[in-house]
Amino acid sequence: MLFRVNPLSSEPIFEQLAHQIRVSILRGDLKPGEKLPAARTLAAALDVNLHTVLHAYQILRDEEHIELRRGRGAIVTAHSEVTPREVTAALNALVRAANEANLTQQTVLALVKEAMK
Amino acid sequence: MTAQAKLARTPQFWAYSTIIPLIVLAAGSLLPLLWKSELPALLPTHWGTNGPDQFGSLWGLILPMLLIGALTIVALAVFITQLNRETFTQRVTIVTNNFLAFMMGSVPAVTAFKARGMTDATDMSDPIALSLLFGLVGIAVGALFAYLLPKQENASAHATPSDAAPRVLLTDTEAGVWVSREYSKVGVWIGILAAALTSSLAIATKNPAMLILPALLIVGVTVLNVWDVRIDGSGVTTSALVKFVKRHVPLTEIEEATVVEVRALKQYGGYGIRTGFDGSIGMILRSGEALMLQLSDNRKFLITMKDSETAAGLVNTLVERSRTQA
Repeated sequence: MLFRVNPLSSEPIFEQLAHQIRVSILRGDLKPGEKLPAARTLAAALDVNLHTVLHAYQILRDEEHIELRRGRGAIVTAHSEVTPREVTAALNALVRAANEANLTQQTVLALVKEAMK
Repeated sequence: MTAQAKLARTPQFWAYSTIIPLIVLAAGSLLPLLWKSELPALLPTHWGTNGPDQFGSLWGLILPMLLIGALTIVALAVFITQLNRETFTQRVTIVTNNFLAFMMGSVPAVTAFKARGMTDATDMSDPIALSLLFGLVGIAVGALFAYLLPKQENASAHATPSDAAPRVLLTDTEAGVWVSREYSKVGVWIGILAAALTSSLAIATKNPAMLILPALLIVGVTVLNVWDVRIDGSGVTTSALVKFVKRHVPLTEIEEATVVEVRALKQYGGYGIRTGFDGSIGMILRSGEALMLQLSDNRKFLITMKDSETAAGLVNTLVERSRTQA
């Protein structure tokens, strides 16, 4: 699996990692039962602190996307559902419309949050 | 002859891969001659589930193992490195030949040792468990020699990836890495099946020492069928579950990464760490898609893996980035 981090971004690295893995799970690229790399291995490859990777994994565990098991590592849970196609299609349509209206990401997120209340 | 002709088979290679293993094989095979006076006229040369089922003279025990072993060791050392001379290949050959020498050489020695003082060797147990243990010693000795073999310097790559080769988009400030574990499900299952079969053989022959067979099979299969792949700023690293079994290719030696289709039997003659008939080195877990690295000095390295297009894209992007920075 490909991992990218931008050390200069305002978004902390652990959030960038959590986001990428979360999206992979939601897209179905990472399937239930699949194992994420060992935190130590990923941290060494990315040249970041071990705890940065662990923090990302803990966020995903709290969201119930992965399970952290002693000796077995981080495993994608069976609860993780792939985003339904209709949602992805609606999402792409929303992004297209928002871009045409020149809305910022913050605005769109605020609108979505409000609509889901 | 490709540029690989420059890579030499040094005296050290011949010593570690051929001369020393031949000496070990000869020592083990000829050791029974020391005990000639204590041995029965007929010695077991083959075992079934009920004990020995074929017998022969002392030379009938010694000669086949000595000749077949010597032929195999020499043939492997010569022919594998005729295809590919890289240090990695030489090291794999060294470990293989020492394993063979210790394992095969121990069979006559162990059989004769057990037969000392016997008038009748019809009830002797199968030496295979002990010879496999000796084989393990051979692997350890081979690993030491492989470690001692000096690494040949490879030229730096000057070419850069072609425009058509895959890329992964990384912004100027982004770092990209690839981490994956590749394994052959079929290979692992075959290993488990073979371990189960040989375990039942151990039970059938009522010889608990035979359990070393399935134990070795499980270890061997997992070492050869599970590979961790890592791509980062230092290059491409593939390592087995046993971490010191690994191959690292620095970015400076990579010209281009592409995706290819691999036919395991047709192009590599099988599975595992192989030299291809085209002189390439491959980590061949299965037929199908593979990451191919075109390296300096006309060398090629392939790894069968999933999503090899993304992996190749990352390699090319990192190679380009490192060349422009240099």
